Amino acid sequence: MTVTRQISILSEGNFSTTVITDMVREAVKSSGVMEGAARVYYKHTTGSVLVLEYETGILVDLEDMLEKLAPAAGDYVHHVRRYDANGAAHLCSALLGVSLSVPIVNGDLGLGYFQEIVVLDMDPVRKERTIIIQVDGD
Amino acid sequence: MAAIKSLIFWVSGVVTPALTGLTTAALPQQGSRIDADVWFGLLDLARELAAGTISESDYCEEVVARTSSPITGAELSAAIEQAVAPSPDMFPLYDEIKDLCRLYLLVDLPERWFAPLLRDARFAQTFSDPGAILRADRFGVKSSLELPITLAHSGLFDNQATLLIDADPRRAMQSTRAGLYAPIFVDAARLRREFVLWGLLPST
Repeated sequence: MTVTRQISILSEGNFSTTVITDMVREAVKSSGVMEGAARVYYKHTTGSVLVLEYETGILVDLEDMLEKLAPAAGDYVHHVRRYDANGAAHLCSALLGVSLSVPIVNGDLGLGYFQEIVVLDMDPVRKERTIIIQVDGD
Repeated sequence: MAAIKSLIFWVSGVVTPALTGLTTAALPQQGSRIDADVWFGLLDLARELAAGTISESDYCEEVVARTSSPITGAELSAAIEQAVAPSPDMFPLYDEIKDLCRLYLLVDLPERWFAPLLRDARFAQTFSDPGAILRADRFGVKSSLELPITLAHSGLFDNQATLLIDADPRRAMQSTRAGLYAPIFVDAARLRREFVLWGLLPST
């Protein structure tokens, strides 16, 4: 059985984070799937979906690390079109990935005690963002 | 960091549901336009209101105008006053922590919408000390987004022994960068887990 759900969040970008664990858990519970996997897919190219401990220090450290790899104010070839200036957000998104899979065990997400499913939006623009949750299993 | 002695709770988003959510819920569902752009605009207005840059009546009039709602600003203000209440999930946590740390409220709601919280006997008992109530609009900032740095450098708190509980992740990161650690509030259960990690509460 596969059950697909689409959710939206209003994100301010600029390294905004949103915990979506409970939304994914609700999708799993309502699907009736007891054993399988939940795929979470961020439908954009300037953000990411991650499993991490949702702690302020980790977010600050993650932002600092990504700033070293791809400075937000850097000069990127992506900007030559002059359509937008979010090259850093695209690179960070490519590095971190836009999807993940969490096992479903006994009808619930098989997450560890500190693990949260978090959407990270690095785009400089505030927008509505879409996430697809697909629950697979029996 | 030293042992934690003070906990500061932002009111909107932690003690009560966030003002933007309270506002949109108080608007008539029929005839009000609330798309993403409008919602982000309401968020900015709430931050200006928190800082005291605009008044409660200006906020309501502006919300009604931006959402094209078929009510008056005065009616919206009354509806928010009726709706605002302390989040019940937080009471067990206040009870558990109040004798271990000094609790403060960082009030980012106008007086009219904060007063109903103090009419709740259990809430009023928890925050009965008048010195525990800090108004966000006393700091002379233009938006509540600017408050973390001002508060961190105010000298009002020992930053090394204080946690500022904040539901706004970006603002919490700014606070932490300024030296005043701010756990991000998601819900009471997760906040309790954070207090356990800080050694404030035993794990269950």
